[in-house]
Amino acid sequence: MSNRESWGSRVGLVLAMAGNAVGLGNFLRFPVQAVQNGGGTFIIPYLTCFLLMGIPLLFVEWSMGRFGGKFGDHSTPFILSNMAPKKQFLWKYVGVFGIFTNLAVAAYYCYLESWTLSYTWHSVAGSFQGQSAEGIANFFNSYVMNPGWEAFSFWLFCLILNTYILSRGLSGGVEKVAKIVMPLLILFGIFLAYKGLTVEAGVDGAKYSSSEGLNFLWSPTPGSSIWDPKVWVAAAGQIFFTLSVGMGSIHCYASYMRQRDDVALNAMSAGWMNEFVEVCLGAAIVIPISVGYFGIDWVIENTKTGGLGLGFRTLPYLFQQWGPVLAVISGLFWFGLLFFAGITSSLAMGTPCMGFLQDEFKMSRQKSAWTFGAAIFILGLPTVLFFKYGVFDEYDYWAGTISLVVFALLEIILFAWVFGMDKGWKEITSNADIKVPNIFKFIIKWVTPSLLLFVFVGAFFKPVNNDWNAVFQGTWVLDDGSVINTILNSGLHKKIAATTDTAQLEELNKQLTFVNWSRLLLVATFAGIAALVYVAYRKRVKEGRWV
Amino acid sequence: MGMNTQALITMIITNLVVAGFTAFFFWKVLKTPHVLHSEDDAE
Repeated sequence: MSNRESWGSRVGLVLAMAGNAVGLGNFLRFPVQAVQNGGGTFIIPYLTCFLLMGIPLLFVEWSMGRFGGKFGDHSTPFILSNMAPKKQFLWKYVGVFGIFTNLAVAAYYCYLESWTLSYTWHSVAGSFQGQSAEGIANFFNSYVMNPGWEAFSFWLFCLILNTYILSRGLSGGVEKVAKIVMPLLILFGIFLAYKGLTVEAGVDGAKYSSSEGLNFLWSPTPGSSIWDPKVWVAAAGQIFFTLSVGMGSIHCYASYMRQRDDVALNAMSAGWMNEFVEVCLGAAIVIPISVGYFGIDWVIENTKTGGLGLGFRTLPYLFQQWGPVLAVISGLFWFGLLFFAGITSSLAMGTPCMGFLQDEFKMSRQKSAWTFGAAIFILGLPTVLFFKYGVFDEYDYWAGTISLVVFALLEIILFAWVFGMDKGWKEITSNADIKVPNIFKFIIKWVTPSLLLFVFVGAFFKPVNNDWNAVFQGTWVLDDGSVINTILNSGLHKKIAATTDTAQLEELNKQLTFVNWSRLLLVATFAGIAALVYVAYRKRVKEGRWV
Repeated sequence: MGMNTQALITMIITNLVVAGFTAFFFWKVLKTPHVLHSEDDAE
């Protein structure tokens, strides 16, 4: 059974690609990163990194995908190996990242997506009406820490929904969903941004007007500097994760294009659309509303652990202040928007795995979709059942963060240095509907790999409090969130050493066990995919398809 | 209290740049619609 999937229209492809990039991070991660890294100071490094790292990686991944499609390859193992000399056999195993990451991220992302769906339901059903701020925060803690049948059912529903849409194919499933969901997402976002920008002090219980939050977000924070390495590491990291580069899903989507189709304009359009959702809409919702009701100090304190708390624990309470009707509409729009952002991303995670199974093992579309669904069920179940022991966070860290950087760094080395920049440039510019400035040839070869190395080293050797100046002053101490200390579980070991309470000690030891088992499971998944790639390679040799 | 000038300028310029490029590139995509795949596609 040959893989004859295709896109129905150009707009559908661009919306699906933009949907792949637009995720919960656009609304919850970006504003938090901005306020933590200098507010207005953050935006210049952020946009610079978009130009020097984001756009070049989009060009590279789109053109690699289209190149792979020429040989009938729709997943990264064989797309990468086709770009390298045949004796460099390891590239197909580098390509394993492009399947592994999607599988592992989809496994926990589906659970996150199910929270948004459940909260959409609860907003419409009026579950949050009359509840105190503490009550709503406790609702979230109880929902994720002790998942009952409700959490399990919503997760299973999301998993089945994703699998069903994937089984309908690209043009009949993914593209149709993107065409409906992306305009709705932007519409919901505009409504919430309007509400965020019009919070008035003294009205509906707000203590401050939205201008307080906007000043906080867009003015350079006193003492912050554009030359602070911390700001650049954060900006590069945000650009990297918001665009869904380094995953393999862009390669897969692009591999279903024709050879005479443009990649340059499509890549620019999808990339800028993601930026619009992130910068213009994402910045106008969570922070202005939260600052309006709780003030800047509260927001600073509550964004230290990320944006999830604000999105799920705080906003449902704040929506209640706008009256019962607007509370339902705002809750529906906010969580609906997050759900739409989530599902367009998770669908993109399914296609590389399906492409691989269809190409190499001649599976039908339906069979490959349900195989993917079954894999997500097995791999994702521990993230639901053992969320409180950190399984979800482990998946997010290793698959959703570190693997992306490693893969992107290796793929750009392959593209610019092994495949060759001249051939690579030809791939990017052939049939382009826009003139790609020649400077990108230099950027792709030198600047983007350097920036990626910067992000990678930044993650590996992250200093305490992200204080990069300490590195240059020689007073550098590794943060517990650095890759090195994470591998060593040093944060957990410190907590265990400091605990005297027996019950708490038992919980921490359990957490340590679950963290280590999660890593083992992820390594086993990677090894399993690598073994399948080897089997596929032998099959290709046997069938004379390895030339 | 309204926004301070510095924040207002940073916000407006950033939003205009991002929204402007988004609209420009999407408009170009709409203006040059390709049917991406067809049976007569000769590779």
